[in-house]
Amino acid sequence: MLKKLFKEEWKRFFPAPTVTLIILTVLTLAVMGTFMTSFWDDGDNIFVEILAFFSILAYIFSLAAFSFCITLCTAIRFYKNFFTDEGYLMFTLPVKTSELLLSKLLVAVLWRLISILFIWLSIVGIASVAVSRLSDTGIVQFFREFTDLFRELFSLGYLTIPLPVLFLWIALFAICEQIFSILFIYTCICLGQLWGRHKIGGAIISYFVLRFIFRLFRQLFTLPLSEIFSIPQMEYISFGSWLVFIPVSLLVMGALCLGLYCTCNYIMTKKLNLD
Amino acid sequence: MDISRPLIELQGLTKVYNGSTLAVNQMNLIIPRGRIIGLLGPNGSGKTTMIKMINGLLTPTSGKILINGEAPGPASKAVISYLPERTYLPAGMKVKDILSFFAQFYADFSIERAYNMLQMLAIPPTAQLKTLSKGTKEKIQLILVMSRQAQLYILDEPIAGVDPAARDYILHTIMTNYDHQSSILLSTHLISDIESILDEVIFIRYGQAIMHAPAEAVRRAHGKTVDAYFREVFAC
Repeated sequence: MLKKLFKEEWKRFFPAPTVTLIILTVLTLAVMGTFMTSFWDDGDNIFVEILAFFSILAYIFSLAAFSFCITLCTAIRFYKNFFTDEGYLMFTLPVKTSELLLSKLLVAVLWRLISILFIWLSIVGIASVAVSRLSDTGIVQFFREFTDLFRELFSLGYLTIPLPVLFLWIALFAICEQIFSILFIYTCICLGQLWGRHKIGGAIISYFVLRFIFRLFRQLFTLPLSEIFSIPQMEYISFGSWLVFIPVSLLVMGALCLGLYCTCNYIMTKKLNLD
Repeated sequence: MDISRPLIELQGLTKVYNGSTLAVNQMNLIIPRGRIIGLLGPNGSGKTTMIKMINGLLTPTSGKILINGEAPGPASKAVISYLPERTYLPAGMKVKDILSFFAQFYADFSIERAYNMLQMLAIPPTAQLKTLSKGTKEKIQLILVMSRQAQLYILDEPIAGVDPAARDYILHTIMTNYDHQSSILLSTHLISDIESILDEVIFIRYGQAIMHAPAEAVRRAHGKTVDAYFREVFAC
């Protein structure tokens, strides 16, 4: 049943984020297109400088807006599909609540990862064109300097683990973070359903309360960790410390995700009260 | 499935809203197999709340619900075909999409029967659900519910708010499409329209079942129709 639910969810959720992806692609191509012209060549012109500054600012805001749109679509989809009239259809399907939740989560995480990929492609695409057009170094040289930086960090002893391991950890942690942030929104919406009236208001209040609790938790957790691993100094993290830090960070993130998932599943199974 | 057990058993079922509003109060009820049962009561008597709890859409405050001897869950949802009082059809779908959706998830759903009913009502399968009127959406929901070969059909106010012609069509659809081994639980306060098809009646007041008897026995015992007796019992 999970496969069927996933397929249905993918089909239903598909249009909204696709539109935002198309807008981002068009925007990226348009920005890249301006670098093909001679417009930006006159770097000494104050008008061009101001325009360049505001263009970069607008581009950064549009990336943030794009990311926000995907999150908003995820939240609306979850709320509408489960806690409005559509909930009468979804909760009377002969499936487990955990399957309903998991199908939504998987699709939302996939779209978040796709959106991150598009944002990176957009940044790299624009940076490549801008560097090759505006500097003498060229794009190949730019990326060479970028990889040299990591090599230097490694040779100076700042990085004590192999780069593939570091990147794998970053990738895994990023995926966990996406799962966490989606489950965080789902949990807030579910907690809002526990309120007798003003359920959306309840979800918003839950969001700020939970955010505060997690911030506090992060502070309490990272302070002793940074003492142990000398993270603030970033002078030297030993290989042994990495061996502890990587699994611990992933385990903590995994435990948080599991906690949020179980909370949602519990509310949707044992505390469901559709209006 | 243990057919020696009643289809549904409610044991001391209670629902309190917001800690103070008692909607269903210690309800004990048995829904047998192969019967058409009218769940009758005035507005606010607890009919919809009870139905929603049976369908797992509301969590009981206390008490037990047993469907084929088990608590509500995927197994019970697979044998209950529920028509709620509101329209739940997702706006972004076409009529044929929602039919495929039901066919995917309900093993007892007959897509051929659903298409036949659509044709009879001249509803185009390619129509977008959001473009249809409320009445047409209600008819589509009825088609979805009655195209299943369920053990229990729960119909919550299926004829409220529709014109007399549509009322006749709905009752005809129910009577011609349900399996006689199944039960129908029909909640309404428009008794005169459905009285002729009822085998049993349950009167509900203040969240409690105050009477559960065969419709014929009620008529014989009180010398009047169920509708007339209902008006007498629930007179304001």
